[in-house]
Parts: sequence; structure tokens; C-alpha cells
Amino acid sequence: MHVRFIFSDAVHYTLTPAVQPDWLSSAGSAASIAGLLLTIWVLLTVRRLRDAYIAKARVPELLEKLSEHTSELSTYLNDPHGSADEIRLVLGRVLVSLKLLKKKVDPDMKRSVEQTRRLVADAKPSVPRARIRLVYEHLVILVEELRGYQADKEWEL
Amino acid sequence: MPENGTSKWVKAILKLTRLTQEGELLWGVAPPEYEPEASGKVSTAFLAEHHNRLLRVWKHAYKVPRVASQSFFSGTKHESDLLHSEINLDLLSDDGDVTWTFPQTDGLEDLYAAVQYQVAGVSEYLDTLLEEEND
Repeated sequence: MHVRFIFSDAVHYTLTPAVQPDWLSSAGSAASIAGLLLTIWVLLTVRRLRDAYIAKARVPELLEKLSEHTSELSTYLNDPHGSADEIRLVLGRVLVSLKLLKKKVDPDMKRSVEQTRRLVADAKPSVPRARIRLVYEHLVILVEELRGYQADKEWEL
Repeated sequence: MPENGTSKWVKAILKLTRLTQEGELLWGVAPPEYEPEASGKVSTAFLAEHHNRLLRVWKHAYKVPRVASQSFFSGTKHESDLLHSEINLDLLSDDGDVTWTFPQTDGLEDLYAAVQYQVAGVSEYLDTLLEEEND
């Protein structure tokens, strides 16, 4: 009984407006809002840093794979009677690499990757030789562009 | 060929590769007086004439010394060299002197592979081999 009496008195005094000044209440609200904003900023910054580190680790790997697949295409262009099925397989692997790369690069680079991806996707069904050559040339140029992009990124982190 | 701000060197390499693969640019093994001189390992060099200029392509493998490192605990120095290889595309004078070397760009490896494929006659050999199988 005695404990309950003290508790209810303490609660009564804490919640009574006459005891708590206005400025303290406002300061408390402002601090909460500032804290919330800071938390959101920290979360966004951590996410940005995480994406940047993942990109830094993965882009070189994906770029090397793309470069290998590009060279494979050139190998098929060496042979006038290159197998259409094998070319389609390589184009499939190229599409996978491009899809993964697109997620890990900046918007400007994304556009180049997407243009090339569309070209590859369009060529895949019938693989005409002239179209494969165009795809190959676009890929070589994209790989060169990505190497420059990767070199620039090294300076950012 | 795609245009947008692409390095002219890449465009040039791509064109040479296309001409090689389509049989419009014919290569042969470089005679001794046109062989490159370099340290390390030099692969077979190939020569072609194009627009009255001599083109030479070859593969060069060499060791790149690594910075020596010392183990704190054992005090042992570790040194191991990295093996580096690159494809060189040169313009030569009539005497075989290098007048210009193309910068290292993407596409050079593919050009070298295309030249090897053409000079080795791989396509014709495969056709003959497979014809025998059908007989």
C-alpha cells in the first residue's frame, strides 16, 4: 500500500503540466526529430557505402568475365561455319554478366550496359553473322568503357 | 561499328580483326629479319601488308619484378616475379624497324587469336578432317 501510494504520487507529479516547463517539452520533441533524421541519414550513408564496396569488389570480376565471353565470340567469328548453338550459349552468358553489371554501376554507365544488353538479346534468337560481329564490337567498346569507369572508381573510396 | 566517343585505337583494332576474320587481310609468319627483339619470351610474330604499310603482331611474355617483402617473424625476404604477357601491334618500315606501336587496348588479344587461326589454316584443316569423317 505504501509503495503504491509513493508511485502514484511520483507519477502524478511527473505528469502534471504545472511541474514540467514548456521549453523542455519542445526541446525533447526537437531532439527526437533530430535523432530520427540522423538515424535515417546514417542508414542511407551506410547503405551507399555498402553498395560502393560491393561494386568495387564485384565489378572487376564481372568485367573480366564479360571480357572472356567477348573473346569467345571472336573465336566463333574466326570460323565462317561457327556453330549457332554455341554462339547462343555465349550470348546467354554475356546477358547474365550484363544484367549483373547493370545493378552495380552508376546511372550513366547503366545506360551503356542496357544498350548493349538489348543488342545482345535481339541477336540471340537467330545469331546472323553480321549481327554477331556488331554485338562483338559493341562488347569490346563496352569493356573498354567499363575499365575506364572502374579506374575512376578506384579514386572514390 | 559503334561510334560514340570510342578510342580510335580500339576502332582500328576492331577493323583489322574483322578484315582478318573475313579473309580480306592476309597474314604470314614474319621472316627472321622482321622478328621482334625483346627480353623474356617472344612468340611467333606475324606480318601483313595493308595500304602499303607493314603490320606486325606478336605476343610478348616477361617477368615483372615484385617488391621484396620481409617477414617480421622469420626475417626472411620473399621475392617472386609476376608473369605478364601482352600483344604488340607494330607498324614497320621496309627495313623492319618499328615506326609505331599501337597502344595496349582491348581487342588486341582477339586480333592475335584471329591471325593465328588464319595463318594456321585451322578452318581448312577442320573442314578436311570432318569431310573424312563423312566418307
